[in-house]
Amino acid sequence: MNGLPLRNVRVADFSWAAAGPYSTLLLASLGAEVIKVTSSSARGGFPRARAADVDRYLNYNKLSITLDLSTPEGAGLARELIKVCDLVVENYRPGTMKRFGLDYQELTRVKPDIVMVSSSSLGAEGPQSRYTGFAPIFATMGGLSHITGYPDGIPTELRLMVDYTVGHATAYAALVALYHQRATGQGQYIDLASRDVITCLMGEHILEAQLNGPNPNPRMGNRDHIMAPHGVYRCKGEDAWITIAIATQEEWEGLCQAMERLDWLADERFADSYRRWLHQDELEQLINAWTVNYTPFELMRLLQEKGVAAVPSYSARDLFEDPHLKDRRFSEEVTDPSGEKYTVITAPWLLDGRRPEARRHAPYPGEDNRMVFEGLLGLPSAEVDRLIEAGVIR
Amino acid sequence: MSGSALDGVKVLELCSFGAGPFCARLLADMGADVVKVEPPEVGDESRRRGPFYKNQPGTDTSLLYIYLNSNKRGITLDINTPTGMEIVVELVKRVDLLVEDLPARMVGARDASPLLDYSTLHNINPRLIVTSITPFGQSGPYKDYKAYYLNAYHAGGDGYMLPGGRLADQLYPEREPIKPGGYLGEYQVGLSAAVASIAALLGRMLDGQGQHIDVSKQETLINLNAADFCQYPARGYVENRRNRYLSHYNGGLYRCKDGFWELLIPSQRQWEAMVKVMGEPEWTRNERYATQESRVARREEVDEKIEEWAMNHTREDIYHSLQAQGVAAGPVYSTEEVLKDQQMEFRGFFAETEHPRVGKFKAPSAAYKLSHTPWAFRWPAPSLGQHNVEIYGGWLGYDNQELSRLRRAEII
Repeated sequence: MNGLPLRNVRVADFSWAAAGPYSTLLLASLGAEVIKVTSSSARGGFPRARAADVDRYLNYNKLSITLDLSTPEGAGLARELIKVCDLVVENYRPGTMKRFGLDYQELTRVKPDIVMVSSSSLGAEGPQSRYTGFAPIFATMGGLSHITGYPDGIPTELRLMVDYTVGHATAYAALVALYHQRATGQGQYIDLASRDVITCLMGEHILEAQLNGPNPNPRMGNRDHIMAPHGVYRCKGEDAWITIAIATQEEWEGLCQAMERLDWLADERFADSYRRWLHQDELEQLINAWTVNYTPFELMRLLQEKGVAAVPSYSARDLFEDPHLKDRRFSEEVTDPSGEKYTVITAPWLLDGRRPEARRHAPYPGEDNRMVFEGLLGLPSAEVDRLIEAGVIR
Repeated sequence: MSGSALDGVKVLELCSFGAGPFCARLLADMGADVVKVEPPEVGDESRRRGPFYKNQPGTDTSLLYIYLNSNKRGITLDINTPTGMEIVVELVKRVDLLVEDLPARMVGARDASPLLDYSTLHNINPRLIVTSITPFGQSGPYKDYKAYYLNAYHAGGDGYMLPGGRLADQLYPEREPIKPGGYLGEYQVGLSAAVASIAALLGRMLDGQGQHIDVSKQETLINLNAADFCQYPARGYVENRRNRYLSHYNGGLYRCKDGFWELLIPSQRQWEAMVKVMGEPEWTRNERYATQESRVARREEVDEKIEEWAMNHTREDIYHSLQAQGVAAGPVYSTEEVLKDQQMEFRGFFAETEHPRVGKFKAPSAAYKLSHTPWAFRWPAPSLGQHNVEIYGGWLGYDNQELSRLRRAEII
């Protein structure tokens, strides 16, 4: 491929918080020109304490303009922008875009083949569509919290990764619709419910609940229905852990060799995978007694050499110190116009062996006003001055 | 006009278990013609994994397999034979996208299956997009390391931070980190792979060229917490299960009369609304709890009091009364409760589907409703080799004699 795949795609990005901006970050990393529209009149963003922090990791590779969408001129300029875009992404509370005169019906008047994605907590319409949601709620109401936790414990709260998962689904739906638009000339509107994204990722549980009845043991911790040993074991060091999963007789033998417990190969309790599953509590104790003497990375090397699936439970520090991830260049340093440098984690795929770059810093709000309004939309400089004076561009 | 969004897109899936099949399923749902290749006799690993219909293990009763592989056609093929590999090559000439999850060492230049090397495939079909899914990627010191779904999840850094929160801290402060329920990581990787795959299809419209997409499960999962992980290079901060409770605002998981619920109070306005809903109890008038900062500093006290109030109310009561005042709250639903959710019913989220062995049931459709090319259930997950005749005959022109020869040789 000759360049990034979405290099001829332009996105008008009205999103805020985490899920929406992450979806447009994926698009930007794939080459799209993403123009972030921040409206001074729409409440949004994380509480101040986190805003600056999170913003830089979510909004690199994008451009930024500021508009007061609550003014007719501001909304008019947004429509002018959308006229030259392929895709609109927004995640305001349902009804907000309509209030601005920027709902799908209105937008098809300026660009008939526009693709518009509206992402919300529970859907654009319906009895609870105006309810406020955030990542942990998508997980609790989607059913994931209930099935996450220790077998003898309680449901678990899940957080940021839920937002980023929703962001992936948003990017997927947008690109599918864009593909259709490119192939046929037909745009469309997409109504995405964040909570529903989560339920799709545990479909087999939905089928089971219906066809087999409620599961009396919904939470499994790190355990598996078939494999044993299968868990997370304590290692040497502070809060250090290794994950080990054994599926085959060979892998079991590899573990026994690594642990220098060849006597286990003749032990009735562990003779086959069924028996190992029955005795997994004992095995867990025995393995823990061994793993505490090693660091997780020592164990990974030692066990992988014997063909055993063993991988540390990585902490953030582990990620940034890991030689494999360094080799894979999973992160990149970005330089802000102020000269400040910060590290971002780049896109999750290699395309033809190359990691999509962090080609630009996270923009300051309105940093690209001139470039977009004058350069892209062709407004005279004096007009842009006037709009800034009037508070339409702010 | 409409039809389906990915009309005419042909996909060959050489995957097993979770991530790869889910990626292909997402494409099939939007109208791509997905042909799934399974090993003869045993089939995809997920056929041997429950939950099973009525707890009866069988090749066609795995609800996991059924969910992950609806809307696809299925063929059998042993790709570990020279003839099998030749057939794969013939198949890839006829598709737009190959999704595969073979170990990196099987696909590299020096290995057992040199024909699956991307540059070889590219020469055979320059328009072919190949999405390769492995635990650690196609390159790097760990590329040949073994990882099952448990290992891959924790390799991504999220497991280390779970469970965490006030209740978890109280109940089990010293226990091991856990992965989420089900096969979440596999699904997340499949979804991410689908994003890149569609992008590549779009890119191909510009220059007619295929692309190799290298999906590392570890990297996908790391990405899902990127902003939090970057706090380490930024200021040396490592989030773990204990410090997860320390946050910038009040909220989290709480008990109540009939279960658990989740709350977020990001600002003073929501706090004031919450106070109203709680009936303006005396304790909220205390100076100690007047501001966002002071409440966060005293979060344990505040949370104990919120939970005390909640213990007298049900999840539904708490949910609707708080939401009516603009406060972000939500119940923890069991799977059965999700099935009965009114908002999901309004959206028609659960679709009527059926399967020859299992009968009729409701399945999740899609989280995204496309106005012109909506999600559709087209056909149930295939039985093993169900479409051998259709595909080998239709695409490759094999007749029944040829097919029976291949079958006897255990190639298909």
